[in-house]
Amino acid sequence: MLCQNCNKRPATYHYKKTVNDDTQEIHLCSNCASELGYSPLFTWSPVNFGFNVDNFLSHMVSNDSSTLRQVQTEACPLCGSRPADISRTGRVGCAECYTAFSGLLRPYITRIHGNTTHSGKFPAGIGGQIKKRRKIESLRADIKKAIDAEDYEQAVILRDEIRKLEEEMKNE
Amino acid sequence: MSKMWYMQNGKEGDIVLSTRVRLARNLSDFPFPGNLTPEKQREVVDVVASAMASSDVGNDFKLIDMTTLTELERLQLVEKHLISRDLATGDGVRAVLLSTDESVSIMINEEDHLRIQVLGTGLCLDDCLKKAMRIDDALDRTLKYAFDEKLGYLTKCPTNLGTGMRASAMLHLPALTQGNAIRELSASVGKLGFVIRGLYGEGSVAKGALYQISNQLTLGFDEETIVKRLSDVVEQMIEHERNYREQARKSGKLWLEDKIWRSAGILTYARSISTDEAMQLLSDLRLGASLGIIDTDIDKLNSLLWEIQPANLIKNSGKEKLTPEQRDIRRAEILRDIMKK
Ligand SMILES: [Zn+2]
Ligand SMILES: [Zn+2]
Repeated sequence: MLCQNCNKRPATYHYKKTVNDDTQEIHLCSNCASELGYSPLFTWSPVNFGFNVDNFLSHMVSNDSSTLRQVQTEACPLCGSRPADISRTGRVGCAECYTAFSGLLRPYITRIHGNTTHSGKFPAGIGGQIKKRRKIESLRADIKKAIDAEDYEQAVILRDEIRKLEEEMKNE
Repeated sequence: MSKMWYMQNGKEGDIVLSTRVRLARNLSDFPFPGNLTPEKQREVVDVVASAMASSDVGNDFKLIDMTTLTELERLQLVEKHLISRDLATGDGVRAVLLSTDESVSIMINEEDHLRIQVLGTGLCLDDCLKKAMRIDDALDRTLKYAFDEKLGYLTKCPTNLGTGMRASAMLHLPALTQGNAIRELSASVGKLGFVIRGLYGEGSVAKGALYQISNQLTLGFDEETIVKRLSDVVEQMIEHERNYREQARKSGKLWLEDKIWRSAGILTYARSISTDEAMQLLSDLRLGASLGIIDTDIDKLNSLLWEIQPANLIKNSGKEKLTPEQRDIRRAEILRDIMKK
């Protein structure tokens, strides 16, 4: 089942919303669940209700006095771990859990390490691509600086450098 | 046989006993060890062992299956810091790839699929890191590591994400301990992202004034930066410890000499001695040796540190089992023998 918000990623979070006697199910990927203010860590409560969620839900249900409850969250497709297991132990079951439960884990990882990105070693197999992608990012920033400084000649040189890298990445 | 790293004395050896760099790695094709059946765990061991065998460093390693060792043999490895207590006492199919000189140990199916550990005598963080990277590169040619561009190497515990690296040094800090300075030091080091903890025993008392300092953060900094910063912090701690020792010598020379010689006296003549007491006395001896008060080889003291621990003591006695009382007697014998020389 795909996420009904983005229609791209698989839905791993499932919520139930009851309006009067009518129950509706909401299926989201972990990204959208966290973006829309559904806390995957806790059973949903009205306090956690972000305003984005109001917008998102308005086309689905009209009654605001409804209650919403996380009824079940699917297990990790590779190892079968459930969010409750991860919350309890502070450890994941497999590498795939980091994708399946990114919404649950992201705040936790930020609390441990700060809001940061890996900057150490890469496995040899994928290191080349990543290095090039990061180089391109930094070149794009340089182009912006060059344009701000009205150094258009430099901007063209940088643009060509980016094109060359992009070409290399395509051929890899 | 040449002396193993844990029988030697190295750089800054009067304070830094040893150094370790550990890398956590996982295979992308398997869930983590705790979520595997014994058959799959066996497969992980096989995959890692054959990757090692086919690598350019493979000849140097032997595979030790934990399930084929007795509990005593496993604990011997723990006491020498070659494997973790978790690997020794855990369930499932576990193994270690140990290099001939025992300076590299690759634990398989501990918390993560691989824990690559490089150990060295004295302060040698750079060398340990380089060696760890070489081993990691060699395995990386065959193994498919679980990795994410943002999160780095993916590990069972999110505290190890990123580099998956824990670098540490084992320090003897008797003067800072005596001067009640550890807590303050530990707080200021904590602000820099490093942790100090007692090496032996639980709680606030560090047995034998032995501590381990390691990096807390693994994500967002590269390996060289972490190791460089740790080296800087360790150098500063060495300086603090030396200052405290110097002060102690100036202000209480007689008291200090008396304490060290009394400890030497007990070690020379006691007929029964517990591990805890022995470690405290050996700590005094180590301090005495580094201050030139007493003539003792530091490398001998490093060896004693594991020789007097229960499992190695029993194993080296040639017996299958020793009661705690028998162990204390045997320990006193070993120490008396050493002190006579
Ligand atoms: Zn989505
Ligand atoms: Zn999983």
